[in-house]
Amino acid sequence: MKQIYGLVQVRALELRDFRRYEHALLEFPTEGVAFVGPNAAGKTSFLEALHKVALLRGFGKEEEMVRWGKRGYRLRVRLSTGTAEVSYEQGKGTRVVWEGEAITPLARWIGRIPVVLLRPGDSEWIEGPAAVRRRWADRLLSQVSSTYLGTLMQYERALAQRNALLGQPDSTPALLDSWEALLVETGPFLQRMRLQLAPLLEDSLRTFYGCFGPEKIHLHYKTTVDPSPEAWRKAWSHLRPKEVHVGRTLIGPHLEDFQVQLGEQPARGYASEGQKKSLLIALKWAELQHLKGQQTFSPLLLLDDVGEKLDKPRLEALGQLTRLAGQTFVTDVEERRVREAFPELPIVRLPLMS
Amino acid sequence: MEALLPPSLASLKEALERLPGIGPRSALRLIQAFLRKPELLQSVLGSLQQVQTSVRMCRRCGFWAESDGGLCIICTDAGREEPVLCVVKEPSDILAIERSQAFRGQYHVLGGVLDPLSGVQEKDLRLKELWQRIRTEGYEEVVLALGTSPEAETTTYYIARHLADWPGRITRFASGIPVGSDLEYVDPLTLSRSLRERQPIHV
Ligand SMILES: [Zn+2]
Repeated sequence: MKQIYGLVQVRALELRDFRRYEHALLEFPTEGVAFVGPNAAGKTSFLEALHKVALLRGFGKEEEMVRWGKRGYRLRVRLSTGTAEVSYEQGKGTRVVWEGEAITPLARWIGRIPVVLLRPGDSEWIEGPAAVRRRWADRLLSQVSSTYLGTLMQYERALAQRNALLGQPDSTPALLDSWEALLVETGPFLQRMRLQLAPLLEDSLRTFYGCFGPEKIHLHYKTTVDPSPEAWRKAWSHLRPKEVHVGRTLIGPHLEDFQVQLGEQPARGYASEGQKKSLLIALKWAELQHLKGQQTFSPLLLLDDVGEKLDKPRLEALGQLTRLAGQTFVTDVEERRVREAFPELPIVRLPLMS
Repeated sequence: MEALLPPSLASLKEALERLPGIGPRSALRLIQAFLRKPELLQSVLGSLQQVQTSVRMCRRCGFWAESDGGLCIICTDAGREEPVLCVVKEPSDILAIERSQAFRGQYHVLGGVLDPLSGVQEKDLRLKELWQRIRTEGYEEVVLALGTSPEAETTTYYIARHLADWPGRITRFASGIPVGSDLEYVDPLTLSRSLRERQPIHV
């Protein structure tokens, strides 16, 4: 595959049968664009399309992303480095073609266009279950390291197989040993990558959060077992009977969590609405900085309807994020707010769709 | 659309679609070709019947064999003297390795890999036959060439573990860099394994 080098910028985006758009073609300037229009004007569809192109996932289920009555959709982006087409068809799934060449496996595509996304529901990162933070970390690490993504896929498959085996009456030690061999080859690597990520992000989180308040932020990755094959095997030597009983694997990165603390208290359940907003903006700053530091190019920043309910300092901070982004795409219902926070961004006004 | 097809064509289309690699569109194309050229249909029918009556699994290695004697062309080839047994997943894997003309030993088709999620267990694979052959056929080496999916990796480990006390060599195919490709285009997982299992250069 031809490599993408240099700054990745989206020059044009074309949608076909995506959400409510039969066809749409938009050209973008180098800074990016702010989509302004009433709710249900279809602003978010453009951000979702860019997210799908970059990370091969939209914001909802694939069926919902296909225009009513169609079997699939097609997205084309013209980048500064070439043209990519990402299409989806029912029963066939997603396909990526870069400069005329089909990309297989699809995992090879992830990370080519790094993305940082902030959406209204993202306070789940603070309040939601551990799975939300694991998915978040996996998305971030996969964009930086294709080894991480490949290892994660192997781990998840081996884990599902071991769990299936644990639930079967004839799960012999020899068989369990064999699945565990792959788990101890992949699991500790995932743990170590996540353990390394936490302090890196903690650093930038602290710096940026400093603009909002005095609380010191702690981001800590909590493991269920030490990240070494020996520790895993030792844990299993005690745990296996219990695992056979419950039919699932009780140690590993699929159960672990990132703990977020504001000062001495866990953010979850204690952070005020204002603190949560500040924390999320700081988190996006940290993600941008991380991706920028690891890649040869700056990420796309996608901000979906997040200006609402932000006070002036936080709105300004949101605007600051664009400094680390290669290109910024924003949606908002209020043009005045966009002009204030993102003065350089050209505005695309979208009318209410009939 | 199905309702427009005469019942026998609809059922043929349904049967064809159950074949690997055949979707609704290619099923219709095949049907169209069969109806346009009756002699094509006749020759496919004849071949299918021939396969059904005379092709068997080689009773030794599991490759395809024509019924007489029950052994395949590889197992009856006296020139294949290398005392190495290569374990593969499917008969088609043998064809792939043979194309390379780099192997002069024997094969053993496992018929799949361990896959609890799909209900594939040890007893569904030709493992007993494998242990028996290793005990009685005098090999010096067993090469495990099952692939690199999680299921294949696990099955490879399972077999190697079972043979731990066997005096011969147990090896597997090196994960390699495709010949003629630049390192920067090789995926990192392949690269890291190739590095871990690197080989001395003999000069
Ligand atoms: Zn044979």
